[in-house]
Amino acid sequence: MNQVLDRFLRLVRCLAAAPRLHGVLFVDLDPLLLTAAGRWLADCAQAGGGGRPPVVTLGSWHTDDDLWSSVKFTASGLATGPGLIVETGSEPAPVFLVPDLSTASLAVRRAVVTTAGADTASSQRHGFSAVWQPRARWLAACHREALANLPAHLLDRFPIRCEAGGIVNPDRVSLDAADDEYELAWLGRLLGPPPLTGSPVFTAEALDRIIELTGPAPGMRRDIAFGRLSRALAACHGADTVSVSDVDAGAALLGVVPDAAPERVPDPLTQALEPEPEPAREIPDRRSRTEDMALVDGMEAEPVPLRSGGVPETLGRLEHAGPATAELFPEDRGDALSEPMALREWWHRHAGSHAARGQIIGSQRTKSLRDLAVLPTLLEAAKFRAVRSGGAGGLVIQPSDLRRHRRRPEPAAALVLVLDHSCHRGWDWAPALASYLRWAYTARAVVSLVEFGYRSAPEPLRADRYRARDLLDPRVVASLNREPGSASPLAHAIDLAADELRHLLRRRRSPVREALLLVVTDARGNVPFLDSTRGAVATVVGSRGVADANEAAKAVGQLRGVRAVVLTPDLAPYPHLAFDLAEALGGRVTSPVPFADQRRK
Amino acid sequence: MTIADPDHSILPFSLIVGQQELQTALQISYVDPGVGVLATGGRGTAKSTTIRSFSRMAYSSLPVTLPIGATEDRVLGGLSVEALLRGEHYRQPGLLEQASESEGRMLYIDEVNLLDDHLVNIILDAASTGVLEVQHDHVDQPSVPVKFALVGSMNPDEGGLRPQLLDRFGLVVTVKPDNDATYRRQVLENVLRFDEEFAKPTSPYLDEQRAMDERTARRLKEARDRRATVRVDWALHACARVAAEFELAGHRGEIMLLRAARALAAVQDSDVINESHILTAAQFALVHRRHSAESGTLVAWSDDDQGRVHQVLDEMDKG
Repeated sequence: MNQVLDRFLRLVRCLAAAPRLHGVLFVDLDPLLLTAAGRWLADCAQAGGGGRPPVVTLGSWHTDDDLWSSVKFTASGLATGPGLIVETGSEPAPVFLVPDLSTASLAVRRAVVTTAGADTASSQRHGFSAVWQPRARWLAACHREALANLPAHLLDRFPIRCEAGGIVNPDRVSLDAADDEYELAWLGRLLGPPPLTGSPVFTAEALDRIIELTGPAPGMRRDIAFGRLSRALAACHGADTVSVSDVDAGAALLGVVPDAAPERVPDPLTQALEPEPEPAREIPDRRSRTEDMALVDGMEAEPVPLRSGGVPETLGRLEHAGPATAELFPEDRGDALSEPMALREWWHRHAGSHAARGQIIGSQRTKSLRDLAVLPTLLEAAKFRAVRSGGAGGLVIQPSDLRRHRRRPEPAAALVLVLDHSCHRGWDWAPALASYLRWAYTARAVVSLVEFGYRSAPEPLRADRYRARDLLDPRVVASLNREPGSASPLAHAIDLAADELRHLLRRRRSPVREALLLVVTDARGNVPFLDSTRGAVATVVGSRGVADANEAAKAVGQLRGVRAVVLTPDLAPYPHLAFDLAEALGGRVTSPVPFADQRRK
Repeated sequence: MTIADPDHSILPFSLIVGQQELQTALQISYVDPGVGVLATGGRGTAKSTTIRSFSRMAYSSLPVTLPIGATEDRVLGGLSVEALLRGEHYRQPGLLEQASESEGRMLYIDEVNLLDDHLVNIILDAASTGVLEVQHDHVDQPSVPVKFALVGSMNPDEGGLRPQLLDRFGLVVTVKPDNDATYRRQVLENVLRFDEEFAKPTSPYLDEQRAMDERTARRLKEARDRRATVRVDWALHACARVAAEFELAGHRGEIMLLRAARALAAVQDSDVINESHILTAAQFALVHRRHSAESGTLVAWSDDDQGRVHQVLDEMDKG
């Protein structure tokens, strides 16, 4: 049994066993498996009586109007009612799935913050009013690279997190249309029958152990969630009490280990299979409990690698197995760079003609017909239909009914940053870059980064490209601090940058109005474009790398609305190359130290 | 619509561990209902749990809560949509009126710094004028007096409050995480025990906790009844001098300081305001009214600030 899959299955079963364990965030999980887990949780609830709970997928398209209240057509006309997020007393608690927390809409994120794990929640929208005790389970997933960019406030609602990348069905044999159902059934079989539920009582030693393992942490949510997880594990094997071994099993499940006393924390699963006396604590029936943790026949509990030491102060004594797992709580790092105020309604990035092109996030009252939201307008008028027409006439729309779309503000500016790490020797590019980066930050510019020529490049003959929502994406900081390498596929990089600019200026629903192309290079490209595409240098390069870069740059020069700048080190031995490149780009050259004199030479 | 009796899912107030400053501020707010409280602090510090638990203990119900996604019609009141769809029309009171008419006269806003700007404007208007006049959405509502205390909680990671809104909170408490192991263990034990007991059909343990809450509520009610008899003559001058020392704009600062000190004296069964009452109240009433807080970012109350209050009071003693 794959260790990642084993943890994933156990956590999902714990969710079924412990109603107060409100959710788990899975990193790099295949969304299909999230669906399968949600369905299985619904099956478990149904098997326990009380009906089958709804399984609701929440994503980037949901608005406040979808989540908190609803207006539905009924046989007798229209009726107001609860939205997707509102729990009613008559129905079992829903299971919410968020396949990608990083792309979930602002409305979904705010809903998570205000309801997940909360003791009460309230909806007050469009005449609908409800107060309820949230009992829903939240299953969310997120890509690892996006995790650090999520607001700490949102991440805090998921104190239980689990690495879940690379879970695959080894028996998967075809790619036909039935595959999805096949996968769902496969995971359902692995999860097995509903677990035992109950509310075992904590022993004093178990409570001590939780505090010992977690140590100082921001707030109490993790301690409490850890306790509830331990209780779920105890409940799964029908215990009346939660013992130290259950806590240790929970720790292993989360990859948690204390740094101070590794000798006291042997692998709990391995230890349980070969029990040793532990005179200081009474751990009844340890072997049978751990055996019960095996989820289905044939599944073996694999030991979780534990390690100790080297824990940063901010993490307290909470550490996770392996460097990858340690990144599950990026918000604890002192240098965490999550998006500031990411849960607030955005400031307007720009106004004017672009304002009607952003993603729709709701509706609002209007006095004009511009960008009219037809359905909300009709629904507003429908509310008054009976009153206005005496119940018999058609729909009468009055000016006060008009609603227009509320749209997510789109970025008006873009920075395409091309970093040639091979020229980053003997000079500090940070001061020279600072003014451009400051502009990108203040303009809330979307950032595309193209980089090459660094030592750890996965494919040195090619440039890499990625898009970041803004400058605070932690990948940008990482890119600015790479070790220089030797290959310089400048032509490939310029080609990628041109493609990015075309995308930003033409293809997007809301094209940017201002784009800055900043190329940091000495312009000594030594990999011809074709060699980059092939991934191998075929013959003697000569000046083909430089020539190809200039050729690719001409495509940028033809784009309107692009400001191109070549930032070149004053140490460059062939300064004219930078000027040639800038000329092809239709831009200019800048350098930390002007070297016009060198050019004249 | 109220579902699944959320009142009962709240941790009894007697099980709240620590949070002494927030508890004190909430007690002051209960004894003098015109004094609102803002609890600001990092994630997972039980700010909202403490406020809800206090409300349930003191008023036997949850506070009227304004969620961050509320629409204007529910805040101000408007025609009942359900009735309209049936062909009838009558006005449904909004949350501001509900809060004004509730026993606690408290309007609670969780995550107040995430509240949409237009809702903030509505609240500021109603709170500053004490009158609600609605003429929109086919509603022609005569002026209705609204009187409520704003109680809010927020995580400053998501940004601060506009100074105008911040000023509407009588007291501000910065809730800090306590990393003491004994404290953490007690919190953990109480919460997990509550989980266990809550799952049972009946729980003598929870009955006992709720009985303790009732005793606390009785004690606070007695303090509220006593408040008007607390003598303020000396404290009147002291609060004015403290306000002058901190160069507060306007007079809301010293008024809040005096009201908070008087309520605190009542809670502590004192018939006169003494120095310790002013010293305790000053950190809550002035922390957000100093010049350093004009940006909306809250600067923590320091030992130096406390020393300045001390010095003013000492000079008064000598004078």
